[in-house]
Amino acid sequence: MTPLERRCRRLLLAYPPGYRAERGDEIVSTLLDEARPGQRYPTLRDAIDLLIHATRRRVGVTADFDAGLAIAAPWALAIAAGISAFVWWQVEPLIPTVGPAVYAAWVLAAMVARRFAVAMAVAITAIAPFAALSTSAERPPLWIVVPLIVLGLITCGGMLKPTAEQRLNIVASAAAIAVTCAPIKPALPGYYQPVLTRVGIVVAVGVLAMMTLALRRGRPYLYAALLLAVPAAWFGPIDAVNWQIGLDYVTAARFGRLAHVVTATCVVIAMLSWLSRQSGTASRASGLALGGGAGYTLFLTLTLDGAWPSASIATVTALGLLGLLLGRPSLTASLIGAATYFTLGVAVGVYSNNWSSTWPTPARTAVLVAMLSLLPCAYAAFHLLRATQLTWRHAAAMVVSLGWTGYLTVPAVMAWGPLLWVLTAVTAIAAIRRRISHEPGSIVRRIL
Amino acid sequence: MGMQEPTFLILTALAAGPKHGYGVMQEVSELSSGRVKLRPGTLYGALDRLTEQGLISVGDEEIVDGRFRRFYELTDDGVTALEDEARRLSHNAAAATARLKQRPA
Repeated sequence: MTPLERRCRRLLLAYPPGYRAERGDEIVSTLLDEARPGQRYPTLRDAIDLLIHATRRRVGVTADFDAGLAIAAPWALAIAAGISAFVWWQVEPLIPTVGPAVYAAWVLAAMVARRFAVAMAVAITAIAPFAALSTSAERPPLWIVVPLIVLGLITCGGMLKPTAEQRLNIVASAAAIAVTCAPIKPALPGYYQPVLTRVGIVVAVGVLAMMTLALRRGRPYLYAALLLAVPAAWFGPIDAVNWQIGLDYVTAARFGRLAHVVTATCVVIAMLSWLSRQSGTASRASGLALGGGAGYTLFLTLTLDGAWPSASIATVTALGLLGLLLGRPSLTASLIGAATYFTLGVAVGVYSNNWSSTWPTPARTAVLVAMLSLLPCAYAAFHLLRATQLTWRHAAAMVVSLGWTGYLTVPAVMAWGPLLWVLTAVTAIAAIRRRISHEPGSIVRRIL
Repeated sequence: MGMQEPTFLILTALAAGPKHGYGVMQEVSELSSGRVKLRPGTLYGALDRLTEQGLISVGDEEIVDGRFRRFYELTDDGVTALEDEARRLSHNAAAATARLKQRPA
């Protein structure tokens, strides 16, 4: 094997194994056919092209997804610019941050409506929190930074050159969104996030409208709706403080902003994966659950001195049980699960303790981090709902994953943000109409 | 709505008979006078999609000088789709030429 062939084969590792077995030899032959004599490395452009297509293959991206991205792109830009204008106009005067630099970039991007302007706005948004560190001004909160970045990426990914009329539509929609946000904001915005939750209603209604269009116009609109739902998930729950049920944080992990973002994101990704006919595997689900449990255990061991809170013990037990019921775990998934849980746990801890590594109440942080168990539970539940055969052990695993997810989220139903309501309603309607499961073997279909 | 240009060119490359991946790449480059250069990731992504849509199918396989080659050919649906698209394009081109002639000098 020549060095070039060896390097080409290494590049193909980006493709999923099944596809590689089927098409690998052929693609390598083509790469070798087009190589110049004496060439030792695949060209950079070929390598980038292969990596992009391999990623698309792994994620299950289809032509409908591309069409959905193109539909969502101008809306994403209008929403980003509209919300920026609103926040600049109504929230900044009360809660000053370095935000206006970011918001101005978005308003400008909507007027220019070109990819480079949007990419610039994304870059400024990403830099702003760090830039704020070197000034006396506050940074804009992540609740606005993250949605703006995701909306910008959707725009960059899907937007072709808009016509003059489309550009006018984007600016007009942005203005309409900014004005609509004003009457629905809370009377006294104490902090950014409660305002953004209410603002999220506007985006959630947009997602719902797009999903309704999908009934007549087909899948691309469903993809567009789900793409817009990703940033909308970040606008957070309704009033995370005052609805609290009478449990202290040590006995129960309480639903809050973290749980809302994780839950809504998982639901959106599950719906996207369902559309792309992904189904996951039991060994990966098992690995993520066991690895996640191990990662959390490591986190608890390193951060807590005394006894573990009961909520943490329950979480580790639930994840362990789930993993055992799902059968033999995949080693890779176990390692990814453990590393992800631990890393995200530390990130959540640092964030929720005001960007500090000294945590005055580690037990409280440990219970907050228990909410990350929604991730492996969501993967397991998704796989089991997609599975065509269900053994009693898998049925029990379904009860554990859905039960634990329900325990963490349902008691707080009054705190759900507008997007979670929309997603739940759409899932329920779709399940009733059986649109969600046209594959004949699906369990959901057999149950309904 | 019309076909995208790369799709049209790939189907055209297969019109005269079966070709393997690299053959399609060369032919597309030639047909478009070097304007459209398909890279392997894009090419195989497109071949997968066209196979799924039933416009092309996989034919013979052979190994030459240790290189594995799989040949692709148009299906009946593929022939029809290409004919329709060619008719549409030539109709539009003829209409444009005719109207340009009516233009006062």
